Amino acid sequence: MKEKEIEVDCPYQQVILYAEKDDGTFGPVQTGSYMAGNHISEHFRIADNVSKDLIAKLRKGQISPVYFYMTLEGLNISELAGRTGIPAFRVKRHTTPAGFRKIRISTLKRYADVLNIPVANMFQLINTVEDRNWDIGYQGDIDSSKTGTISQSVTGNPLLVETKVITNHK
Amino acid sequence: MSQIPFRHIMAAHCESGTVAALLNHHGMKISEPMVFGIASGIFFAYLKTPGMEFPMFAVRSMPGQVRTRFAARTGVKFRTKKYRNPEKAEKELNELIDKGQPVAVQVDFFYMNYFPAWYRIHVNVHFVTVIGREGDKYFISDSYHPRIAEIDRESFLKGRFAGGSMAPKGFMFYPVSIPENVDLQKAIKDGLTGATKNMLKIPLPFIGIKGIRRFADKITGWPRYAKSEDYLADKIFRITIFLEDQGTGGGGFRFLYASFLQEASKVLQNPRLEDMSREMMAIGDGWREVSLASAKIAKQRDFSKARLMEIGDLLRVRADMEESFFKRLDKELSNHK
Repeated sequence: MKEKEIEVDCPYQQVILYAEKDDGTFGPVQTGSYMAGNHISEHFRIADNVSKDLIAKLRKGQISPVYFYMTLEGLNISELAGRTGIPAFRVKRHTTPAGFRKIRISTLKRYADVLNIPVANMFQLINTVEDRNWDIGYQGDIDSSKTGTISQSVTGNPLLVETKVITNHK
Repeated sequence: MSQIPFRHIMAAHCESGTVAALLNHHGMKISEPMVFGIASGIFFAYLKTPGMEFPMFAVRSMPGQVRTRFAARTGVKFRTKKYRNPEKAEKELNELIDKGQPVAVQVDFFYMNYFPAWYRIHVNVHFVTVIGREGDKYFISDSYHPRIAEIDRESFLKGRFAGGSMAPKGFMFYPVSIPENVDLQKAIKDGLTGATKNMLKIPLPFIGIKGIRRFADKITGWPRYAKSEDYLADKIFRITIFLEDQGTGGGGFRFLYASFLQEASKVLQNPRLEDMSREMMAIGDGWREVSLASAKIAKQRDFSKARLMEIGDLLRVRADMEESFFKRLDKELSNHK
């Protein structure tokens, strides 16, 4: 591949590709990511569809919150089992609504830690106005929002999260 | 504050890039393609076991092997360590940094929050170099990031001790001994021999050239593993991501390998390797065709057998070209032992 043919205009996602330079030598070229530069909107559309489908199922009680967050994080049962230290057959049970109702709080905490959410989010959906300007940030991750954030911060109590609505007037 | 003067450069691949950057820091002039080629990084595997929800493929050797094989073939020695105790891992890392030693560590890519959230996925085999710390943050040289990055202590620790498959367990490494005169010619020949073994001689039907052909045969069956159309579109897009974007240097590592062959031809003074490097570049162009065709099919959401066979047919051509290439490379090596 020639250097000029490989270039993609995508300043926010840069990669190194190897290509043939004008002098015939091969070497590294810093350019934009092909996927991010050409198909990022499709990526977001797929992620949006998956999320909406999961939320609908969660509302109807067809899936458990463990299954919901596991899928959003791109994990599967065996990977979640490995990360939580909970046997796979139990994780499988906990991904069903019936199994979820029998989980101990200490087990739920282990899931929450691996899934990067506070335990409280296993029992609630937090919605923002649907204009993409609001973010939900856990542990004070609020920098990317344009209008505001629903910020969730850890407290001294491992089971308690402090949720704040922060309006950003920048 | 302690930040070690370190030349940060982006690289195609995290492991070969990290090894090359650390060695250059310690005075060994070596390129990323040379590290990758000497370590026989080029590979192919198509995997689907009963426990896997969806098939997967790999275009490079096992994570960790770039470092171990490079070390074995050049005589470079790395100190490596894994930990059970995160506190001990953190303490020892801090001590090394404070002494001025840049240290490579294995992390779950998901927690490297200097990248945008949409880009981060759980992969336990990402390698970065820690080059300093200040208060509760670390300075990171990450081959995929344009600049020196900063990460908070908590996220970094989570990344170093994420569980699951190939869990990092706080793994870290850094070079402790580099031979004055590395026999580069021998190391390159060993690397080339290892590559022909990877692609031609491993007697398993899902590895090397046989693996590419298996991929070609099986891709038309992918829809039966899919939970939804979106899920399948995502998996087919991932062919493009794995070949082009996920630290391969493009064309599923084939462009990077072509670069290695060009450098190798000069070191070995073998002009036939220069010709073969151009051939490998053309093979990489072919893999890029696979990427573009996959992205097109995923975007159009046409998962008919005929469309998926288009990808299969392109893969068969790649298999034929690589089989011919590596057989000739094998012969070339036999003639020049």
